[in-house]
Amino acid sequence: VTQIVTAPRTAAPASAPPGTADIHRRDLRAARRRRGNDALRRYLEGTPGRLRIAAAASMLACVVFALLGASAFQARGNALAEARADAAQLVRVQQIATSLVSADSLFTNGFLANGAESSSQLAGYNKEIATAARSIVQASGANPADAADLAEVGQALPLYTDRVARARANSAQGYQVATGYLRQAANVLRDKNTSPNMLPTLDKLITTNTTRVDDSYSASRWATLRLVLAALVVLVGLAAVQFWLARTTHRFLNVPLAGASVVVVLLLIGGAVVMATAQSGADTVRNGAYASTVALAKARIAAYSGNSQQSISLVYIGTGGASSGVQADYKKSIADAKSQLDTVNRLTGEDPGLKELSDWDSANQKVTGKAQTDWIAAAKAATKQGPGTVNDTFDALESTTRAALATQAGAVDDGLASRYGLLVITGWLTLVVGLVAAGAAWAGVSQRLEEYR
Amino acid sequence: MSRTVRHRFAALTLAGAALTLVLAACSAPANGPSSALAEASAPLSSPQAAPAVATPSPASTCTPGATASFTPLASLPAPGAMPAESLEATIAQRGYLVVGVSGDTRLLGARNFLAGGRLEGFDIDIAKAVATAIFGKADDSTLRFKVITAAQRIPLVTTGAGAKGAPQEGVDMVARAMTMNCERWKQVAFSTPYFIAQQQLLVRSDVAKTTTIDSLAENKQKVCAPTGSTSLSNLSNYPGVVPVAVAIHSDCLALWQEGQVDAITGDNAILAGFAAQDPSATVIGKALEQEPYGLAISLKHKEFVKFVNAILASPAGRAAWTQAYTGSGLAAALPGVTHPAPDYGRGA
Repeated sequence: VTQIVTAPRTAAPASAPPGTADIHRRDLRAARRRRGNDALRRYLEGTPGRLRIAAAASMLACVVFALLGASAFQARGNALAEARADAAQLVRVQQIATSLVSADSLFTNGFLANGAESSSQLAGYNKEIATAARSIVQASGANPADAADLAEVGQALPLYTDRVARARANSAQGYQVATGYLRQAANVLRDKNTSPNMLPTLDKLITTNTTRVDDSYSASRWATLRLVLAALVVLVGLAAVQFWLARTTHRFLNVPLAGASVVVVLLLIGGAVVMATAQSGADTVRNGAYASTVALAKARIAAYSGNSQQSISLVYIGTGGASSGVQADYKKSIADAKSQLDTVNRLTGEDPGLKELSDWDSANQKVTGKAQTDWIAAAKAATKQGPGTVNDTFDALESTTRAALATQAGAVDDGLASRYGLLVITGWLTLVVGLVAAGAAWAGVSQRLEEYR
Repeated sequence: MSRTVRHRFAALTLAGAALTLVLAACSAPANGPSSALAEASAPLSSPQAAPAVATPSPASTCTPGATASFTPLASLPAPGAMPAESLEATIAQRGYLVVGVSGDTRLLGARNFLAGGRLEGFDIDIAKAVATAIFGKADDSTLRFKVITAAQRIPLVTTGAGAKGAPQEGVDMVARAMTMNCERWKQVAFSTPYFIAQQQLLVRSDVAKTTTIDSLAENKQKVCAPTGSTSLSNLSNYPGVVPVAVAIHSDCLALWQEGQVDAITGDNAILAGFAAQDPSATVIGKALEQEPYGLAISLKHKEFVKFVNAILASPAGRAAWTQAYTGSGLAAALPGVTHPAPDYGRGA
């Protein structure tokens, strides 16, 4: 029945020329802006206005403190978490290398025994190869940045096991070509000019991951600067506001503002303690357990390599080959292992296997000397199992260093993990306290503002 | 068939058989029954004749000739009565002879891991004959083997094994498939040849009939030989061949089995040992070079060379040679090889 006609609220005259409506809208906007500016000026003018500015400044200082402080603790926690992850990856890569040299050590010793590997040696070899294969996959998943190099190692692994299998098969038939495959296997494992290879590539990865751990520790130190900056902002802000307030209102104590300042100072003291403790603890882990873990892993890789080189050297003395070169490699491995164990000894004050290394090296020297005159007897001595044998002295070294490594690696993980939790909690606490302090600052200034109304 | 016809047929058959035998005998070379096999591709493990002697290597043309050694001692001294001021006397005083040998060359010098790792082969047995001449026996107490590479042969024999109480790292003598040539004579002395080998090729059986050294060169294929061996240096005579040098012979066989090289070149005595380890391997072609083996001795000990030559020429030495040839398995792999004629062209 009715027809509703909607008309514009401020319709321009129908007869208005084009452009007049635009000019009208611009004037309205300018008028609104002027009204807003006038209101703000009135809001901030005089003592009440300055009080409002002081309230906003103190709140802002507290909020900046909350955000900057929380991020500082989070950053340090993250850096330590990254250091922990990088250290874990380093241990993983070293585990791959250890498994490979351990497998090679078992294979070469069995080869020296005319292919008559004991069932425990064969089982040990298979276990180490399986561990290496599994660890390659795990390490690739843990840090994709390492995947390309680990793929090369993964590609070389079946080539190595194939040559080992051929060496065993030919040795079992009494064919001399077995030593050719022994050398081929050694090339895939150790020769940087052979592509793909394993140990040279893993060495590169070990260096890369060591650098990553160092970088993570360096990143952790920037967090301290952030916390100092947050402390400066909040303390200077709150102190300036309180000083100005006291001078303006002749009231020396503003309880909410003073309370916020005390809480912030207490939190800063506590936070600084937590951060310093975390850094100190992380540094302790880095210079203690972590350094020991890396050194022990390197010592074990060198020792296993030495064991393989000793066996290969004896094979070469017996069947032809550059045994002097392999003997030189053996001596270098022993020197490397000793140097790393010396480091652990210096860091922990305990003997992680130096005596066992010396005993094993002495036993090897005797066998090598014997091989010059009676190779068959030397080969038997080098491959014999049981108490008092050369293999027994190596087993002693292996078990001592393995136990020490497990202890130190566990200490690294625990040390970095516990500090991460404390830093994250302190970070959240800083955020909450900072926001509460901001509220308290507003409330404190508001009290004075009320007195002017 | 009438009785007369039957008699005529029998007579013709006998005459034909006799003629065949005579022709067969006439066609056999001095050191092997069938020269035709020099270019055949039959596996050396089959009971066939050794290849004919090839043209001597250019490196072997010198005066006196590469195979010429010194006149042997007029009479071989009894064991334990070595001439004074001689290397053999030093060895006797020391109590043992030190010989550089191969440890991976089947049939010549290799460890038999199925027999406790003992060294076996033709070269090993020849070394035993020398030890027996000095001590009256050859066992672990009088004979020490040092397994060496091809490249170590000259340095170690030059160093020597030293005297009693002053041992050296070297050896008294090398018995390791060492080819006598003029170049080496400048560095070491040799006994008269104790074996004549030929440099040949080892390839897969399925390509044996179509492969020659020329086809390998034409196709720029890879041929493997140990570093320091004459086989490797001879490959330079065939431009196009890609030589692959390795430390020891076994490396060549491993690379060849993996397909990383197309052929192996070496002395037929060595390649026969390879063929014994791989049924798919065949030794082919005419001999690339003649490879006379001599026992290498320091140039400073000409008297020991004469002593060794006397051993090789003696009835006991010849018997030991025959025993070594058959006992090592070399006779089965390379049948028809005879004791090389001595060459004392360097005089006293």
